[in-house]
Amino acid sequence: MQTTKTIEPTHISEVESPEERLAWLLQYARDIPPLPRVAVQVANLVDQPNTSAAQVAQALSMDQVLTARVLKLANSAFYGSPRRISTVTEAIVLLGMRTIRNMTMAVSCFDLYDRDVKGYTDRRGDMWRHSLCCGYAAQQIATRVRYPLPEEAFVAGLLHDIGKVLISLRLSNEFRLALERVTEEKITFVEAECAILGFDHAQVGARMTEQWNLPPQLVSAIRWHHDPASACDASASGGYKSGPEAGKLTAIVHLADLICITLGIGLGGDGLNYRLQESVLELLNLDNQTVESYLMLVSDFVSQPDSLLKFGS
Amino acid sequence: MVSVLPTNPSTGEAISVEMAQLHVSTRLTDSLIAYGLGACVAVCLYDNVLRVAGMAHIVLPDHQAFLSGSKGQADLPPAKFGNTAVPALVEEIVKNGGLRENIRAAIAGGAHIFGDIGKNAASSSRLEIGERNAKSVLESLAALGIPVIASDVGGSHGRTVTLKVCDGTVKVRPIGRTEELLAALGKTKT
Repeated sequence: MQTTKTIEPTHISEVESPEERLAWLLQYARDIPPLPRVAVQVANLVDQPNTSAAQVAQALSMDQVLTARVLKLANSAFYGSPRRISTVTEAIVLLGMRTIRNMTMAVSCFDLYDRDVKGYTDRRGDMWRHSLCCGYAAQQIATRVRYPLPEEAFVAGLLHDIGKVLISLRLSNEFRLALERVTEEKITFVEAECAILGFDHAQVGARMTEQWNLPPQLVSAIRWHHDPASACDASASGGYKSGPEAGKLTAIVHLADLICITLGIGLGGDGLNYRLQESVLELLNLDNQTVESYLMLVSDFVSQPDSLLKFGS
Repeated sequence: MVSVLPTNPSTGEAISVEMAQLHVSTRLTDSLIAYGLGACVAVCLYDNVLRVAGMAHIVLPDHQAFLSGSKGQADLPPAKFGNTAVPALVEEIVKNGGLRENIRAAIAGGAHIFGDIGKNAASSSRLEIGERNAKSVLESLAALGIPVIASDVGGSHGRTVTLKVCDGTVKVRPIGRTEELLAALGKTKT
């Protein structure tokens, strides 16, 4: 009996519809180191109300490399522990469960972002610097606007550009073309991506984090971080979680991203070609002076000599 | 307190001037570099006779708004704000043997973000930190009578700025593109 063999497209240009193109790219998500299962597990455990320090410590200890990195950070001057921390349980007691969750996520993301994206950034590690500072900025904003889970904002900020990693890695030529379009046509990077690929890095990031089983409002914040108004409105949200809380988290990430770009933190070839949706300022009830105070906070974070930012150096 | 970076005493080097920092050098082999400026502005000052170079990486236009009951001016790093960075940098150059009357300036940075789709130009200026940073620096330089030889401000691209101590050359590289000469601050006044 004769069988027919399906030939998989070898390049995205052989795929027609935007949705199929996105699916084509996502099959290569395995090419980048996934967020460790343990990190996701720790994040989910901390989100549950009755989780004990022992449960978190047990989950984290399943990954020895991750544990060692978290302990190294916990002992850094940034956290100012008065004594040497030698176990995860001690770290949780001294620094708190949510701090440990953030550390675990940040350390896990370092491997994802620590790559040299030719033509995009000046210095290796710029994507990491941008993402970490965006996480920090998001957490600071979330705390001040009384978003109930500031740590969730940290993770959303940390992961908001994860789609760029996959696009730059698998579709480096298209990534470069998008950067050229940004310069030549004075459009945003998202607009250039959509013109060339039929989708953008926010869509890719949302699908990746969905596959990692991250909470739906976090996925929605990644999906809509360039268009936060869509996360408020169920009819515009494309099936991603919507409503006031999802809208608020997305607005926080949008503003945090903008603050880091304004400060030039990990600025890429797309520069400041970013559209601020000014409605986020009304949604979060912020005036210009408050936004400037956030710029101060984030620039102070970057200047700290032994911050989380120095983890990779 | 002025935030001044330590200098390697033995060899010249490329010294990164980070946000809210200023640095002065007289070592002819040094270069001062501000990486990836967004809305921030790099102020480059140079005594072209005694060859003293200084750079400040400013973040915000004015320190006044951040003064509060508990926080006085002494708590705010002068290099962070356009209106305080320029006098602090001049003072540091003079401390390092430069003369105020020899100092010439070049500035770069102050990029701006896009406005909201469909909104008018006025609304897009709501958070124009870059433009205000550049304006604040230029006003401070004018107040001190320091001539501005060249400026490369605005636009929406990031920039890396380098100032060479040996000849006062200021170069600007838009991120992802090639470096270009902005000013030769070491050239004799015309």
